[in-house]
Amino acid sequence: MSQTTTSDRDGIASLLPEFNYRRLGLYLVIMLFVAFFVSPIWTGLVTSFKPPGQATQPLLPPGPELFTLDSWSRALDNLGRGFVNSFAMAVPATLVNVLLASTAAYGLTLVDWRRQMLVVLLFVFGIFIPYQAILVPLDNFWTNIFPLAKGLAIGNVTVIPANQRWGTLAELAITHVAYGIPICFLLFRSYYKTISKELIEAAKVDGASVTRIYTRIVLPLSTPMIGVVLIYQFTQIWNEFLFSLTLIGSSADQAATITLILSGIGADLSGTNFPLRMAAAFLAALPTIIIYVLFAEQFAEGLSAG
Amino acid sequence: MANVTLDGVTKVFQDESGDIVAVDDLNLDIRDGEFLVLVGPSGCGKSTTLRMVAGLETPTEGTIHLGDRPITNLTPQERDIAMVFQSYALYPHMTVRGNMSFGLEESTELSDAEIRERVEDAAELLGIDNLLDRQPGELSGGQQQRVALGRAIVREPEAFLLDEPLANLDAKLRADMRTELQQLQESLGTTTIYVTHDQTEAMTMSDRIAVLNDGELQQVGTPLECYHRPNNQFVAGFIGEPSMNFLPVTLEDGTLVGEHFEYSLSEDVRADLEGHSELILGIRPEDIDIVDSPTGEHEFPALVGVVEPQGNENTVHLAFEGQDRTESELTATIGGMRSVEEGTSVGIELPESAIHVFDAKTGDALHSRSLQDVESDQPLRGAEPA
Repeated sequence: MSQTTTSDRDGIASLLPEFNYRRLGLYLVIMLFVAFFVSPIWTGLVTSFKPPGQATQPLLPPGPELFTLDSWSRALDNLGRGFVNSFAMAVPATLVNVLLASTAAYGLTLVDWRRQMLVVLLFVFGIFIPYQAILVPLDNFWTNIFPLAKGLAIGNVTVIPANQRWGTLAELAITHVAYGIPICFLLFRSYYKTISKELIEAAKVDGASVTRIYTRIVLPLSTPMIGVVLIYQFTQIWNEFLFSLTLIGSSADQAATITLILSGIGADLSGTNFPLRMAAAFLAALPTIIIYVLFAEQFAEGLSAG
Repeated sequence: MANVTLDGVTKVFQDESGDIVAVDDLNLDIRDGEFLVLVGPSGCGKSTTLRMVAGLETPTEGTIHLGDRPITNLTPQERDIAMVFQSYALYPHMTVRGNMSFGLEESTELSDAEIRERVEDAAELLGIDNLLDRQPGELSGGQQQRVALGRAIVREPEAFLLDEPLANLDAKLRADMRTELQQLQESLGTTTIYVTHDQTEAMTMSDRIAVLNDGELQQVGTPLECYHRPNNQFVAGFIGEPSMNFLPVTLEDGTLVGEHFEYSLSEDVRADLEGHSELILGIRPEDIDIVDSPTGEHEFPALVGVVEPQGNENTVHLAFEGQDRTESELTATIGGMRSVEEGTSVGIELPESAIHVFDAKTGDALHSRSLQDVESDQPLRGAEPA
């Protein structure tokens, strides 16, 4: 038996995989990529554990005598208000976005009516409006035409009480909903196109109305895409800076979002506090990372389905 | 339950290249409790017709009545009909029970207990009561098919519409389901419109067949009417397997003259063909008899081409003498125990009582076979001497 399987190499050498230069090259390239992607995160992380002024060797971790969580607790203090503001703005904005985009996509993809293509094109056009182009009218709209932060009254009846902080955040949330709908609509639309038309027709013949078909058939089948849009849109809104800067203005404002505060943290006349900036950056990124982990399964499923 | 009446129904689809007439002025009356099969080649408008009855398409012209109720402009939700789709279209996120209850929950005011009872009764009828809590994804094709049927039955609608419901099943299961569906429809007595491209399904299941081609109704009749008394060449060729043989001929002095044969006609047949000269002679494969050598009046010398044994019968491809064997023009079916060798010369008999004659230009049937000897002929076929 052993005679039939005897190879050119005997002894211990036969137990080792054959040495292969191509494979070696491949591993080298992979390691290069890993280093490229990991090094900024690594540098940031080790820096955040060093005391301010000691962060001179970015690649080396701090020694045991220098290790400190000081920057992290300071960052948390500074960012606290930003966390509250960003969550208060991003969570409702994302949910409303998903709801509106999915209903719009349903109505424009699985419900037949005349000239719907024109409306679809209008939505698609919305994706290509650059943010910079609407900053001035946007600011003008919220300060002069519809100043939500100053409260809303119809006649003598107060509909929304004046509140600078929550009012401004509401303005920001509505802006994000408006600008998020086109791309989310397109994501849902591409997904709904894969739903069998016969399924919708079967529900129609079964007697279900347009809204019942949505709530009982289309919405339950949308879960993978809802996962994708939730992650995508929450990350977009959480990380967004330009609208916050335009509508809120300064990191000192009561309504300042996390990105606005982050931009100014650890930088003053005395220099840049790198450990503080790094710790704050990690803290600010935490919610998006958690969201990814929570919805990763739906995300993968939705991406492959869409 | 009710009859379904289609009156002058026309459907025109707009396309970039212009208008496409899918269904052209269709008049059809499906009786209460009848099993009508709409049959035709793909693209003949049969599915479009069904979808118009379902309310999934709106007719461009014409009216549809369900009983006395005009339903032409009603939405599918308002029509009280049930439909089974080729893909079954089961709701993938619901259990079998959920799938079957859905229609009742949406279209009736029944209580949960009543719905439960109806679903369980229907499931029992179809033998799927043990599957009620499964998801459609866990079921085999045949089981999914039953659930789709169950979803329709449980609604107790005025009419069933079935769009190629057996097309996705394997051949064996399809034959079983054919019988079962037929029995089911008989016991329920619900008016049923069944769309298929398979003439076997049409022949075996229907009370009446409606043959469509290019959006136009060719013939409505019982399976035997369509088989023995086809209105035109299309129906004659479409119904029956293997198809009827067609031979182009001209009428000269009471004789049909083909490229390789001459066929003399009796007085009766001649009377039917008066005033026509370009004709098509049609004869069904089972009516062609193979003899050792041509002697009689309607017997011709022929060459045997490919022979396809099927056990109970042999399908024999034949060519007239003077033709190459590969361009065989005729197909005959003979008893399975008779042996005919490929390449031999034989005689073929085309009995005059079995011939059909069609107008070559319009395709209209001018003469159909006599039915007198059909009944006595059939049982003897297997016992024919070799």
